[in-house]
Amino acid sequence: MSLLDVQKLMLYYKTSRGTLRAVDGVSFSLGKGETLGLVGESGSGKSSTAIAIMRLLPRNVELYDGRILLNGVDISKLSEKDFREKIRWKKISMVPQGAMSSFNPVLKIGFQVAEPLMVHQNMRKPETLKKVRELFKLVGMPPDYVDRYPHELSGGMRQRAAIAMALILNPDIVILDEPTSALDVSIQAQIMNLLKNLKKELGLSMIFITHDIALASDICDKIGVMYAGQIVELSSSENVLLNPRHPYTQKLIASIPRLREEKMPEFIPGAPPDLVSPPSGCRFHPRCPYSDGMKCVKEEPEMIEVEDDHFVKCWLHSGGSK
Amino acid sequence: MGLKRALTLKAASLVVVLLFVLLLTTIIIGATGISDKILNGMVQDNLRAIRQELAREIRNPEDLERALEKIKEDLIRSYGLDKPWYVRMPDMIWRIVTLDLGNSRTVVSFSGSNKISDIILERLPNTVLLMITVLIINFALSLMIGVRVATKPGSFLDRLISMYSAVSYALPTWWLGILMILVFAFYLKIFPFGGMYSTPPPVDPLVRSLDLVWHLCLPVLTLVIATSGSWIYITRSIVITTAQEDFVSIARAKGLSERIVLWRYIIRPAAPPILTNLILSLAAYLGGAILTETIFSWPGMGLLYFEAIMSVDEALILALTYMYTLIYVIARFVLEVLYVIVDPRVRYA
Repeated sequence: MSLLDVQKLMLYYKTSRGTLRAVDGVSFSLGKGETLGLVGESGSGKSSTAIAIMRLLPRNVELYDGRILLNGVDISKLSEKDFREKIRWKKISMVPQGAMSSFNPVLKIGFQVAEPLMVHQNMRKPETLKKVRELFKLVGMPPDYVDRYPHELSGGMRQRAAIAMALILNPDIVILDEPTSALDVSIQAQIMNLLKNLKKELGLSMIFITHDIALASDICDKIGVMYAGQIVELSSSENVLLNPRHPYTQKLIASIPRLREEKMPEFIPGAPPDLVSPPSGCRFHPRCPYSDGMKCVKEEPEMIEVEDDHFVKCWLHSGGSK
Repeated sequence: MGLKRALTLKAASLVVVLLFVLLLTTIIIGATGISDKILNGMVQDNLRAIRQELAREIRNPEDLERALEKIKEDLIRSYGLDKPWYVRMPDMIWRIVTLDLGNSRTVVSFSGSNKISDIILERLPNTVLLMITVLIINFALSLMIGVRVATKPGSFLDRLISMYSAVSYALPTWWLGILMILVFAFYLKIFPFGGMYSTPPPVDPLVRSLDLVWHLCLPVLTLVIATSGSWIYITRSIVITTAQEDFVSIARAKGLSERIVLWRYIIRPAAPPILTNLILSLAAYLGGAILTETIFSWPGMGLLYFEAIMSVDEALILALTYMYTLIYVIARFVLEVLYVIVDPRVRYA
């Protein structure tokens, strides 16, 4: 049994132009100690997937549906209060996108990291701060940073603190939403190494959200490629990177610039679709070089297993048009 | 340590503001000849009084004129009128700084003194009472209503409050004041037309304070209606902006209750920008208070200001300008101190 099992997750937003289908039937599973990468362009629904799993719904939600099984228990059925007290941060925690804005600017870092201990485990402040100091050492921060305010920390240090905060209750799963995109490359490497160490030492299960497929391959066991609110290809990192089957994944990998190579990186023609009125049939068909203009336009392909544990959502592999 | 340094810097900059206003006022009064006019007026007043006294002793008109001429020269010299205004200026500034504000020509204090410092000290508490009452009501309203509508932007209540804010912002205080008097004092006869106490004032302390509250209602209501709109709206928009910050969703993800999220992660970090807006609106608020006092004949400094301007009592105008600057500077300093306490980011800047 896998640790986390997400089935047909949907999250639609109400906008002035109509319903925006940010997450549209996303399914995946995550085993203990595994890291799943969710990769895709901006607006492909990666962050909305994270929001949906944590049930941090904004006010304009139109539809929120699907099953989320944690250790076999459907947590999407829990009441708001139970979900808050039993799941959030205790079972699933997260490291947010912006290293700059993940902390309240007027409260000390140590307090904010320790806060879940006080709220969920009724521990007293001095005890919790002791624990925070230990945790700071683990993530490579000077322990006396507990008395600092967020603005007194560099971006890299702040992100380390955010990771420490995510680990404070020993959660089963940590969701990392572009944890390094606001950092410069050398700091990014430090944070990635830290995450890899934590994964090894603590046996952490992670969902790693990024637009950078190369970065994802560095740490993830599995990668799910997202396009227009759906996962279009899901397999092990090796399979996705070395043997991509979906045309979008192929294009995405071809667009990575490489050092010391004459070849210009390719680009994907067209723009990501408008999720208020997504294309009919396969959502990638307007930009896809293999589109047959018939079935691809009319019918939505199913997710099929093209080889062992390698799923692709494309008519090319469904024995359909070609 | 950073705290102390930041506060010292703020205090120093405000003292500079105070001195600058003082300098500007004296330059304007000096360069436009108003200062000469004030002093000449005083000389003439003095001469008229002396002439009547001397006329009883010196019968010969020529001797009298000669004696008066000499006294006039003495007076001119003692007032410094023989020297240009910029030479007199430092002395003038020094006297104001030490609150030796001179005498008023037209106004006497309730106890009969015409020393300007006496007059102002008598009226200062009345002004402070009015302003603090309005301040507390505005603060409570913006926290209660502003935060409440910010949690449901776009709702009916929110649109209603936004509309009220626009109307409130557009209403001139003086016009609203006249309207309030017309409706509540003239037609409905619920509240008095103005003043601080009924005539004759009640003797019993309890009745007296109730009478004061009754008289306070209309001016306070006027000022609150005319200023609370922008307070509420500013609070609303800052709370909405803060509520969208990442750290708020992280706080929710941490499993904190909505109450903690609201107070610790939305209102608390929203406090510094709200304070900034209060600091910026302080001057307009003082101006509104002056007009309100005038309309409701509230015996405070604002009404005094109006009286001084209408009777061209230059010394009093100058003194009041200085006093209002002083109030502004003190209020502003209090807000700045609060700001430094509320926002750790400015302590080390």
